[in-house]
Amino acid sequence: MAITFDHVNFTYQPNSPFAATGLKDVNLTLPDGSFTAIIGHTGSGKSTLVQHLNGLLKPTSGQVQVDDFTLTSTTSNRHLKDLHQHVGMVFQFPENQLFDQTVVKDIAFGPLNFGFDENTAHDMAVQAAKTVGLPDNVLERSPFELSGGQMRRVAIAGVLASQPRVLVLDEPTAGLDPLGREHMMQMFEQLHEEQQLTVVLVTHQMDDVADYADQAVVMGHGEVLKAGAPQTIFNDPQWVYDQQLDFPTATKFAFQLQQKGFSFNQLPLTEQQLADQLADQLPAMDGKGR
Amino acid sequence: MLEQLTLGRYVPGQSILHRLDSRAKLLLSLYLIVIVFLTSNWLTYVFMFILVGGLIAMTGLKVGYFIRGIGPLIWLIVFTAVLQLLFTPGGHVYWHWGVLMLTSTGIATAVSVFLRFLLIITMATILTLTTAPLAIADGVEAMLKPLRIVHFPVAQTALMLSVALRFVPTLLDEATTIMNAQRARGVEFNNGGLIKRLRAIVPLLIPLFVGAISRADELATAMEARGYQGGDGRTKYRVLHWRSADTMAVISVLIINIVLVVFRHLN
Amino acid sequence: MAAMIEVKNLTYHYPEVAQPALDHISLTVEQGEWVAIVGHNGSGKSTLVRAIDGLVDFSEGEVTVAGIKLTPDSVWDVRKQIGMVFQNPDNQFVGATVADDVAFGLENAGIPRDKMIQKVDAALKQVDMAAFSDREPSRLSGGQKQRVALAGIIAMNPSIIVLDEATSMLDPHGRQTVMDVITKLRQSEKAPTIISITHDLDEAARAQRLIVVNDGQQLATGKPAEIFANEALLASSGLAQPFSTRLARSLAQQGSVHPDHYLSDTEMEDWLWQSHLTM
Ligand SMILES: Nc1ncnc2c1ncn2[C@@H]1O[C@H](COP(=O)(O)OP(=O)(O)OP(=O)(O)O)[C@@H](O)[C@H]1O
Ligand SMILES: Nc1ncnc2c1ncn2[C@@H]1O[C@H](COP(=O)(O)OP(=O)(O)OP(=O)(O)O)[C@@H](O)[C@H]1O
Ligand SMILES: [Mg+2]
Ligand SMILES: [Mg+2]
Repeated sequence: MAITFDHVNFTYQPNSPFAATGLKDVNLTLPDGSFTAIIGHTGSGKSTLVQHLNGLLKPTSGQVQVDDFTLTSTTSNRHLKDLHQHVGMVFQFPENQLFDQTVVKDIAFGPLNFGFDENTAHDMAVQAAKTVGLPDNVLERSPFELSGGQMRRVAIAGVLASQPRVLVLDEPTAGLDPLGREHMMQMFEQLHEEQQLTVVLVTHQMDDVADYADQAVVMGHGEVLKAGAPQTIFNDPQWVYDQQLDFPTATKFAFQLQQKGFSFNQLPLTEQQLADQLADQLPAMDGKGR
Repeated sequence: MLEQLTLGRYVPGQSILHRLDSRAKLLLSLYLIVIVFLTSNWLTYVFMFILVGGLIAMTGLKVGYFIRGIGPLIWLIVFTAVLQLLFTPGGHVYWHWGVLMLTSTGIATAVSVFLRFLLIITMATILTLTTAPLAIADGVEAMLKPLRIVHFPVAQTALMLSVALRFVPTLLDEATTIMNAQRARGVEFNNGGLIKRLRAIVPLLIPLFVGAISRADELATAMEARGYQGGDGRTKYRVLHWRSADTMAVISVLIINIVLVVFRHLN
Repeated sequence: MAAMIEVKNLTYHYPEVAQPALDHISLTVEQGEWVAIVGHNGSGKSTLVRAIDGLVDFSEGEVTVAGIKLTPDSVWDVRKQIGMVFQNPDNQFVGATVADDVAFGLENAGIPRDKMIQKVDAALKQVDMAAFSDREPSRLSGGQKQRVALAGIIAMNPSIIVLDEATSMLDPHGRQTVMDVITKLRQSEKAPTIISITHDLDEAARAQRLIVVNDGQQLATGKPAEIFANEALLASSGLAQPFSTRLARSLAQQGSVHPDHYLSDTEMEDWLWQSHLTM
């Protein structure tokens, strides 16, 4: 099973002076268990694309297939509930959706809506709170009393609690400090590895693309401009630059080294890859050449 | 659903109506609304519809867009008209059951209520579609100015109105995002009985409220940091320009007025 | 050089919060300096700059800005010296259009209209947004809105500009355009003093000096290179390690030569090239 987009078009507010193209003829395959990064400048259609994954938006024409679910312009909203549970969706600044009196109630909200009984939902919530690393003593507190970072975790737990098989993340680390960012990304990586979740990450952080994704999709004006391994995307520097995209830190550093005279047979994207290739061009630690 | 509503929206453009001074447009709209309420004969209704049709044509927007935009409100209008239809006594009684009745006066009243509503909503829509929110706020300020004499805080009220209008799209976006986030967590906003629907609103309203408060707080901080102290001593960047087209518009309305008076005498 | 900002023993508690957000913090910023404030979420960075602008009523301590001691009477004079750009582009856009927003501060200061028009135009040119002066905020990108916010401040010609995570909600291109404006401002004749709060180490590294804030206190201050070289400090204040440090560690794991102390990115490039030549 996988996720496929087949000639998907989407128009916001069709037949009005406000009509705006959201997606244009999108064809895409996200294999089961893959980690895909969606990148592109602002307004390029990233959020529009991922909202099709759980039926929040339905294609104006074309078809989206998510595992067993088929989504077309005529799919009725009544049939979407299972899809909502199957595909968990973490929006930008998800802490803005918290509302319940206690943290644990807020996290259990999803499972309750999806028809689990009170006890099961509570257990699922406690489990999810553990996954995101919330300490036990905050569970009975009001979510509005917590720090920004903790509120973010509560909101993410609220999505994980329903135990989705596909996890969509729209800039989940925006506004967090660097360590908070790293912890959160490692948490997603772990979910991906341990539970084989299919992860779709919308991000402006090219280091995250390099470090975590096995596939990258570049959006521009509602179209898929390029899709493939991060390596192949970044291999064409001029093109990347034209799309107003950035490079991973290690890659930028490698470009500087290339100007000095170093050569790389494969463009390094992570600091590990850079170190690997540099080591061959540097003396060993004992001071002698190799 | 919210997206369909046209009343209160602004579509940037360059039509004659767009370029009229907002004070002229506000004044004329108020004036036309009063006329609609005073309208009592069919000839005048026909005339008013032709006038509104002409105004729609002048906006440069598609007629279909207006019709679809009024759609969400049509039931409200029909409901009001039906009340008039069934509860108004007088004239010839066609049918009668308990307190309900169908009379000739009732029919006439219902039809004219329906037509009045339709005219007023369409005119208000024309006003907001062709006038930027900022210009509306400026126009209101200009019209409130005389109230300064009684120490009414005109400048603050106008700024409040303009900031409020400026945040409408932001808050609508936010409402859409929160609704989507809660739908993704299994909430069904358009399903189930009344109680279920009301309960679904809570997870939307609370975050929206919390968000609006923190936005307002940040905005107040930003305004204070930029030296806003309320009160007087502020100068104004934007001034309204009354041009010959505005005078023309007022003259046209006066002519219309004469026509209407003539119609009255014809009857 | 004269001190532009002096903070002494500043303490502030948010109502009903036990932990102080600022805890007897003292620091100085020189005239014309570019200082970056770093520290983890909740360390007190925003509260600090808000206190300096008189936006929170601190209970204890003293703030002096451009020689003016901050008191309830002098607060509006202090604010005239400081221009602030906040994190969320939407929540600081007051005007209904770009030009109106830039004019907002000028209107507050009671600047006559003909002068105001000139200043608004000039400021919009400086941030490269002159072509957008009639746009409503809902039709601008985040980066464009932040540049408009900067124009609103440039028009007031303040001696200090404070950026509180002004780029953190922007995409890479938006960030770049905002940073370009700051760089250009720094090169102008009367370069303002700049205080930027950021979680982005590349952005922090552009400043002349870093101030590390932790638990409402100044934990350390120094040139970016000095701070980045102090691994213990970075760890204890919850900061990430700079790229060159991580690269050096990876090289060590490969059994390759590596620098034994912190180098800036360009120093690192030179060092690597020199080592390569000895092979
Ligand atoms: N509700 C809406 N109505 C009309 N147009 C919209 C709506 N939402 C988005 N758009 C438009 O669709 C396009 C794609 O928007 P989208 O939010 O998918 O971009 P994005 O790539 O997620 O951008 P960002 O990086 O800023 O989040 C933009 O041009 C946007 O203006
Ligand atoms: N309005 C408020 N009411 C109560 N506590 C607050 C408020 N604002 C901030 N705090 C608390 O004060 C402390 C310092 O907050 P501050 O916003 O200054 O941190 P910061 O360093 O700017 O963090 P960030 O990097 O997340 O912006 C934190 O513990 C925070 O939870
Ligand atoms: Mg988006
Ligand atoms: Mg802050």
